Amino acid sequence: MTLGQLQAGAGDEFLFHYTDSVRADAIIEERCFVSGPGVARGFGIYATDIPPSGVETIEDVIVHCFGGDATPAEVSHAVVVRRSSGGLQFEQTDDPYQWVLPTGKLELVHIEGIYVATVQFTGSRWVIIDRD
Amino acid sequence: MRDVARGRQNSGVKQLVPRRASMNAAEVSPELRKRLDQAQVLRDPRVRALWPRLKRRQQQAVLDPTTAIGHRYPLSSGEIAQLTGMSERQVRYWADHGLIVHWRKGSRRVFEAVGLITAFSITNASQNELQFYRGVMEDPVVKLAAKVGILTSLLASRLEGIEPSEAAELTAPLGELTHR
Repeated sequence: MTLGQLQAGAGDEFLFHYTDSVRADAIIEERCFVSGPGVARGFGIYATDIPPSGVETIEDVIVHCFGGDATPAEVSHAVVVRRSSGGLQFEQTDDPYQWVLPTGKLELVHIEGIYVATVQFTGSRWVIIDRD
Repeated sequence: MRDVARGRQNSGVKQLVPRRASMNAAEVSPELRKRLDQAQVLRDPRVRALWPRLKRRQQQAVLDPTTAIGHRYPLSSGEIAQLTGMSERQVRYWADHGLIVHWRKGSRRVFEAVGLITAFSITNASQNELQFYRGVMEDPVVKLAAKVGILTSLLASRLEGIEPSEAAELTAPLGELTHR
């Protein structure tokens, strides 16, 4: 799987969960998703169809997914997930940029089959640092 | 940690999310829990306020320490020193006084992105500012609180002279401190 293929599948096949380096490591090492405390659109794992494609992606994600309330260090990693796999399915919210995998009040979720890869922003470009 | 604590209270997870393996908070390693705590501090408004003041090359180093250090976070005191230009002794000094955010792995100080951001902020401070920080670090809490009170009163007074929207933006990281 190349970065180009991940970008090409944005929205249709893949979604992107933007997060920081620690949470990305947790996902890489433990396959453990950490859902945030935000409940504006319900508890769950949030993802977007904005693909990691350039320097401007970070700003797009901060504006569209975090309401401008984040720094690049908080969204420097994109965890690529399948839109659906087995019984798991991300649902589009009323926000056109946001999708959610509902988890109830669960904060830590170990999910099989949905993880595809993790991509890191180096400050100038995106590179794949882990694949399933 | 708030997230973990809430997860621990949830005992009916598998019924709520069928066909999904769940991870109880108790199963998270102590090391991962400490790292996740650091990730939470990264979202603190006081830390967010530091980001725009970092130089571009410093922001780049925070986003990707691998290029300079050869591996991902977490970093050691020596690696923070290497990236910031501080000595290792200085890194330990500011870390032990709470100005460089870190966690402990045994006796070793360990640093995540938030630690590097706060370390660069120390590096960027002037000698006068560092002298001021050193002074207040030695103060008893009562005296420190009194000084913070004087500073917030001074800030509130100065804020009266600028646009409310700009004032709100400037003081967002301070929370309740600037409310009279």
